[in-house]
Amino acid sequence: MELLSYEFAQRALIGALLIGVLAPLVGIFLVQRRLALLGDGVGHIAITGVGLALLMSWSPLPAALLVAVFGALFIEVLRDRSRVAADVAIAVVFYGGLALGVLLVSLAPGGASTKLNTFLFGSLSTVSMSDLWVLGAMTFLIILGITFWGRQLFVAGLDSEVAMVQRIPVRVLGVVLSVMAAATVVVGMRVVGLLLVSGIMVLPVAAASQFGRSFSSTLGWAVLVGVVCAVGGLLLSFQVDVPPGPSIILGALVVFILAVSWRLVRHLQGARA
Amino acid sequence: MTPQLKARDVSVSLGGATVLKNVSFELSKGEFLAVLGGNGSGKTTLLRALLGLIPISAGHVDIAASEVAYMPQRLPNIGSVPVSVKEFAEAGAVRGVRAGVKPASVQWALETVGMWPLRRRSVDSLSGGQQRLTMFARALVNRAELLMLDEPSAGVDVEHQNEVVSCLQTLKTQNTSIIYVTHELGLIEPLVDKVLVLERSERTSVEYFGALPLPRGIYADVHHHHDDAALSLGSNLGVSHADLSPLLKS
Repeated sequence: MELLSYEFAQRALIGALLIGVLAPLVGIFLVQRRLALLGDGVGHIAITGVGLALLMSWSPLPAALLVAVFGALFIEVLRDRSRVAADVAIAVVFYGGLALGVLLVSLAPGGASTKLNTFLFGSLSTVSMSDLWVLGAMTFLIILGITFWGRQLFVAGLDSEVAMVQRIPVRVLGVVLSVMAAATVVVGMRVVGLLLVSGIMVLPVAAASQFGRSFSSTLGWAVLVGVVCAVGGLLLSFQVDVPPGPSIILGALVVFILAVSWRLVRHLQGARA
Repeated sequence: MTPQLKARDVSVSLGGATVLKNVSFELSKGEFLAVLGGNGSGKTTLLRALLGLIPISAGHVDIAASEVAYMPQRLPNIGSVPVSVKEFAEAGAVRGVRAGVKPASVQWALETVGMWPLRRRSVDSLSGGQQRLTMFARALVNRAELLMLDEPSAGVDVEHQNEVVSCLQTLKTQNTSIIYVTHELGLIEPLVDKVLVLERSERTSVEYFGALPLPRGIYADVHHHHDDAALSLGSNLGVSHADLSPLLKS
């Protein structure tokens, strides 16, 4: 492809690869804990961070990361320490973050709304080298975290009470996962946008769960689906001149539908036999 | 000798209601304690309170055992991501921040309960009894000094129940202390050293704590109620008392 000879396209490809690997790696632990919409909640509160940055003329990435981490921790505390159910905690942060973010943007200097759109829906083609270094470093740190704590995260997500008896720091791991989710959302912000980043965290996992028989095999398939959809969606968007973010998510949705259909066909074949 | 577990006047309140009151007992190394009681008597609550999963409102719990393993009453909500039998059992070996899993221990635990041939199956595709066996294997993996089991044989067929009992017998000879919550003794009766019978009461939840046989009137009333219900049902179905006698507990 001729377009890939351009630097912006190469940077976009690297950005897509990073999120394709990272998002399902973190997403599988969220789906395991029935927190599939946590990425959405965190994504929406990150809008507050972006709005604040646009208002104060700060760099959006650190502001979004700070607010996203705060939002993720707030959800975790609400869920763990109060009577508020997980879905309600996410909704609180979701609507509060979106409302506050839009309000802040309305107070920001002219042109802020256009800039906000690039964060809401992604702007892969405008990813800079410095953006890539930051995204790459965050991806590396998160993968390192999962390498060290992945097994404990799995056990704590599987059965928190048995994990506590086994002296696994369940609450600390909840906080660690929240921070990882927040960081993943911010990495995904430039690639697929804050409104869609939860899709790339959840859909590859949902697709892989249809044909995986174990957690580890599902993880492997989810990362493969994530990478294929992220890179495939990007290349498709270059070909037909559509935004990459929605292309990537729709690609993941198509894979999920195919996976569910395959499982249904197998189930029907098994029933007939 | 220091007891493996000592509970003194343990009381638990949940949602404003007193669920357990003044429960005291001791468990020595290698002892097998069966916890009996009717529905709602607090058996599962006691286990969870001993493990620190729920707060106690009064009393003390001292656990001398360095390794404790727990098998809850219910399978955890597996959620949308499949988990294999082997992965589920391996989860029992993860302690603190150490991630070491000894493959030989996992194989031994699964072989003991007859689940090794099914190790690659996903847990949610198993029958209820097979899921219970997998949960039991998870509790066995780390060969803990103290095992706390909540109705491990519920829904398990007789053949596998015998395997569970045989395993517990072996662990007892290796000085593992066992707390076994159940509705009835059944196949585990020969292993039992002490029985703790719980009941709902204002004064104390402990109806009896000691060795077998149970004194007359203790928990036996539950068996008589079962017999009355069985006789009544038999009468409605036209089955004679004589035909039912071998099945009655009294």
